[in-house]
Amino acid sequence: MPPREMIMNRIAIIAKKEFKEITRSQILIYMLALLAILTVSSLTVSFFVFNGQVNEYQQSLDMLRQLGKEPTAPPPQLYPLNLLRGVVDHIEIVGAIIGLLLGYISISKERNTDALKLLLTRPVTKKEVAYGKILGNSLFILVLMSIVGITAALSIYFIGGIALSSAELLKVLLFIIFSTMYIALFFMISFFLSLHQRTISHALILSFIVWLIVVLVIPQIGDTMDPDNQVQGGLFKSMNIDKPLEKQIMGKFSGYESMREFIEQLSVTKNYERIIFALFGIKSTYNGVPLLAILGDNIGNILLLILYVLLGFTADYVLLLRNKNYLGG
Amino acid sequence: MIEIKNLTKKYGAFTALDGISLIVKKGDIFGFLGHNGAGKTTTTNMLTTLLEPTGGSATIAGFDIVSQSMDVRRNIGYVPENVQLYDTLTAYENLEFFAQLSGISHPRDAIGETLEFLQATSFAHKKIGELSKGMRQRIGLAQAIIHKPAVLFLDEPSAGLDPTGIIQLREIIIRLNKEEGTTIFMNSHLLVEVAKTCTAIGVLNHGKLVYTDTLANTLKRFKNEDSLEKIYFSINGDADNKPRN
Amino acid sequence: MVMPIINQGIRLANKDLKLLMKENTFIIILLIFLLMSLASMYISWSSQHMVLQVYGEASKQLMEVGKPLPPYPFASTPPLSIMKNMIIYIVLIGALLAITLGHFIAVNDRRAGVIRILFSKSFSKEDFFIGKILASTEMLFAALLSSMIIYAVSMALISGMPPSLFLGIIAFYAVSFVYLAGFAYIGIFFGLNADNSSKAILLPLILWIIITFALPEFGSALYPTSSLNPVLPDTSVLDSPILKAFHSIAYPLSISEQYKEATATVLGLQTTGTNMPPYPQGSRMLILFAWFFGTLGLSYHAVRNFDAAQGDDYE
Repeated sequence: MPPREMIMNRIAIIAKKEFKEITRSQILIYMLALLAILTVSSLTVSFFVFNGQVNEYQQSLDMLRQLGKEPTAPPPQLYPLNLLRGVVDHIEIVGAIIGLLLGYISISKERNTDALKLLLTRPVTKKEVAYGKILGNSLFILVLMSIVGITAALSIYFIGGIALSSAELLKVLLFIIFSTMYIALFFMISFFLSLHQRTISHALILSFIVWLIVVLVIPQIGDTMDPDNQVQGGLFKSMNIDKPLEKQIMGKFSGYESMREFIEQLSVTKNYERIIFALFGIKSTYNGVPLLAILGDNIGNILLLILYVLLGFTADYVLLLRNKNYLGG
Repeated sequence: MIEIKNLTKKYGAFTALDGISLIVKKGDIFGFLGHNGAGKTTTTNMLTTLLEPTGGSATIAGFDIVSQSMDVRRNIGYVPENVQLYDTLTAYENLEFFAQLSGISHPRDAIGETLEFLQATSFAHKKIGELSKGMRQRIGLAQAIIHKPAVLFLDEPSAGLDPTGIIQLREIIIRLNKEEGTTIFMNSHLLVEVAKTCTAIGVLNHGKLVYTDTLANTLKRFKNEDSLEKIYFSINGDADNKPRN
Repeated sequence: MVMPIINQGIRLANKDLKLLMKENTFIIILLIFLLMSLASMYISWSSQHMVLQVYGEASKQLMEVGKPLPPYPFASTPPLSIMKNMIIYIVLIGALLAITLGHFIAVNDRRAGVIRILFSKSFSKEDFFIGKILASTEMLFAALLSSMIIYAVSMALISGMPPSLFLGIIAFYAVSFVYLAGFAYIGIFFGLNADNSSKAILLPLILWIIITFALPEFGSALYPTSSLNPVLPDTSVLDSPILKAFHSIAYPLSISEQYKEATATVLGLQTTGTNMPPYPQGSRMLILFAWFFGTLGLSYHAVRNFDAAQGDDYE
């Protein structure tokens, strides 16, 4: 066998072992079950809420007709991918934790048992171990996100009775890819910390601190700094100010706004959220906009997400090659 | 000093300890022998009140291990196998804490005396995490004897120690017994150590006590066997464990 | 010498606190918590300041085109609304702090492998329970007190808070203590029950996620990340009987929502506007007290059933 193929073969063997180990981890199975339950239940709740809106509209319509008037408000419109808002939120929060656990488990198992030293007495290099581990876990995340995507599409069909169009299915596919990248980044963060820390359970707690700051605290600071979020129902609405005037006023505070934008960009969760909210039309201005235009509009967020993932990969790769505690030199 | 009557421990259908009866006299160094899983640690756990028996009874210094467990605890010291202690605290801080729990409200003098007795003063202010296995074992022993207990329980005390550590530990045990009059109950695999330290032995096999007597009587009774090792195998009758020579 | 029970508990608690202050991971979370107390004040203040500037600008522009002046945005905003951010930080960072606090206090003896030694001394399970609860309660109290001092001082300096508002801040921190103590006791419960360190820290964190992010969604169709918005969103559960049934079961169990509503009431802020039959104000505090005593009971149960002979088998 040519050497290149042999290397690929060894990487595949390590990746396969990683995959097998993940499926044997009890705690991870609990987390996956939690994500599955949250996906289905969140969709169910969304449907109930939408049906409620439709009923309410119908009732007011009937009432108007009884009074002999014609309705002016348009009926509530259903963009089925909008219903995935809760699912996206759960991936941001629970999905990121699954990523953290994968990174932690990938290192802790071998650190506790010294199995990696045994592995390295075989004809396999540290580089191959690094590639194998990252590949195995990323594949697992891809499979997982595919299951979430397919479950979501099927739920929309079976619970809501709506079949997704091919354009919408393409968006679900992109959602799977971006979600995989997002979760893989958290895998890489805890992989790094688990390699780096002497006490492995401390690595887990530190990973949670990073998660808390990136997923929850920074986006929360960004939201708070949005003047529109400071007043119930929205600042500009409360002042009866329309969009063009709002833009004109905010233009005067561009320094503050770019500061807020900068803080939000520090959180990959915010980048991920913006991409998916645009794709699914959860941000309503993107409903009915062609896919390429949506992607073009969010190219900055997409590039940042890719950059974060590449940074994570490089950091893990370098640390795994250099780390002496873990590999015994 | 220790009186055990028909002591039993069952876990569901499994009997870990099957009605053993035994007396350890005051001032004895008692060696408790048996292969892995014979029930030695289960016995020690019950005598140190960590585990409640499912049958039978036992007293230590006249106190019942179940109904008077707190009185038993005041009268014993215990060193578990592989003692670790709080590794971010110093040896002194660890001893201070355990001395206070043992009822010594101003432990400074007691700590000084114990550390001197164990020749451990030099590393008293080092963190446990920085100590060698032998040093740590000595601090583990110090916490167990600081309140001058009537009975000291040692679980595999020489496990993991180097030859020097083993010799030092043996000397400490003998001195403790002679100078302080402490009764010592030790579980051990190391038959050589038992032969050099103990005054009486008991042999446990699959949860049953198959032999107990003083070491002197034992050596007399098995005068044809030239080592405790061989005596152990002839008592135990465990063909699988016998050496092949 | 017979020692009164409380003395042994205090000794254990003193040792636990000494060890806790050497846990770098815990210190990091504590520092982040205190830092965020300071930052939260500043973020809220600067955002409100920004709103006022926007209002000024909007008034100017509207006047130029001859339109009427808009209403003052903070006309009906209570003075302590500047603290609403802190509610969220208590739910996020405070809860993580409380869980790790309970966790470290519960597992330090197990990690050190001294459980068998401890229980071979004249030291009972009651002593152990008192020690652990005392240590976690003391540390949580100290952390919240420090946060409160930082908050009150910075608020007085930045926004010139009148001293009369101080009672509201104390009440806010008192409710926060009841809420967070529950998480510390949950940390103790899992720290003593789990057979390895990963489970011991992960299970309470998962429980927190369910309580904080999953249950509110079932309870009031609130999106998980919406719970982070400082202005509590208007959630509408509408007329669906199934959602109403969900709501009646899940809402009382959404301890974090109960906490947010209770503190919003204490601070005089608006609360979530659901169209469900409103829960009486007192019921939120009752639920929080039930949470406090329930988790305390759980940790007592964990200590009672703790197997001292096997307690050192941990990693």
